Amino acid sequence: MKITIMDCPEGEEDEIIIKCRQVDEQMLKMIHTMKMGREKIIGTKDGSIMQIDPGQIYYFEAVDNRVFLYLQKEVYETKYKLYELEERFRGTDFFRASKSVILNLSKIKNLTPALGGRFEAAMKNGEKVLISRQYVPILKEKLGL
Amino acid sequence: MNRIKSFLHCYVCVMSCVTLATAVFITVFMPEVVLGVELLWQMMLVSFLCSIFSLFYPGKTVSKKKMALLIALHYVEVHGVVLGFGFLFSWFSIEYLPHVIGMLILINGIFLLISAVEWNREKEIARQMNRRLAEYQKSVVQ
Repeated sequence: MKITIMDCPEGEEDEIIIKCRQVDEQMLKMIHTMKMGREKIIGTKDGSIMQIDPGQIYYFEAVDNRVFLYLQKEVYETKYKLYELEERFRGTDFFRASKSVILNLSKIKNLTPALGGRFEAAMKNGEKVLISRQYVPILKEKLGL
Repeated sequence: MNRIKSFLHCYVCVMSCVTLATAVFITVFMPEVVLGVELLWQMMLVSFLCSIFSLFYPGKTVSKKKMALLIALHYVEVHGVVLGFGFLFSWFSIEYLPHVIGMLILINGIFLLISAVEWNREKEIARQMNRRLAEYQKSVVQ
């Protein structure tokens, strides 16, 4: 793939133009990654507000109508609903793992079978998250299986 | 759709094992007996009733304790169905202890065999997913 970087005239907004024959899944993923690189998620903790890089997030979890995002050690609350986050991160490393969890694929250390067709994801920070039976096909598809 | 696929997979496994178990039981306990075609329909019905519980395994996340409880209930249900219908269809004599013990050994054997097959299948899926996950994460880093 050819990459051309051009000077941007003073006063104009930075712009990325993609010239391709077909917008395939890989291309969409690249676009999402570029967009995500700049977008931050607002998280709150003890009254303080933080801008969080999505790449640092291990998973989102909904508990009692509140949504939390989990980093390596810290936990922040976010105002977004789980379905909004699912939509926002569609085509990225994030995928729905159960009704209450969205997982970051790049933060999974390994997967082991749990009982009844479910799988357990061991995260790189040592946490373990269950993947429901009904969402396993989504994960398999994401991994190209 | 996945639930139906999973149920059909379970039904085929149970039916295969029931066929094998029936052959063993008849060979051991009643080698001289001549059986009618109704036995096949009875086996299909019992296999169906033993597999139907798989539809009740929840798609949503449940605790390990609850899942273990569901498996225990399934185990009891399988025993109830096979022994109940076996008695109803006169597959064995409840007064003849070797028949009852033979049935129990076969039911437990099938339950263990299917559980082991299922566990190995899931282990293989996990192995494939872990391989693809490692490749995926490697490609993202590069």
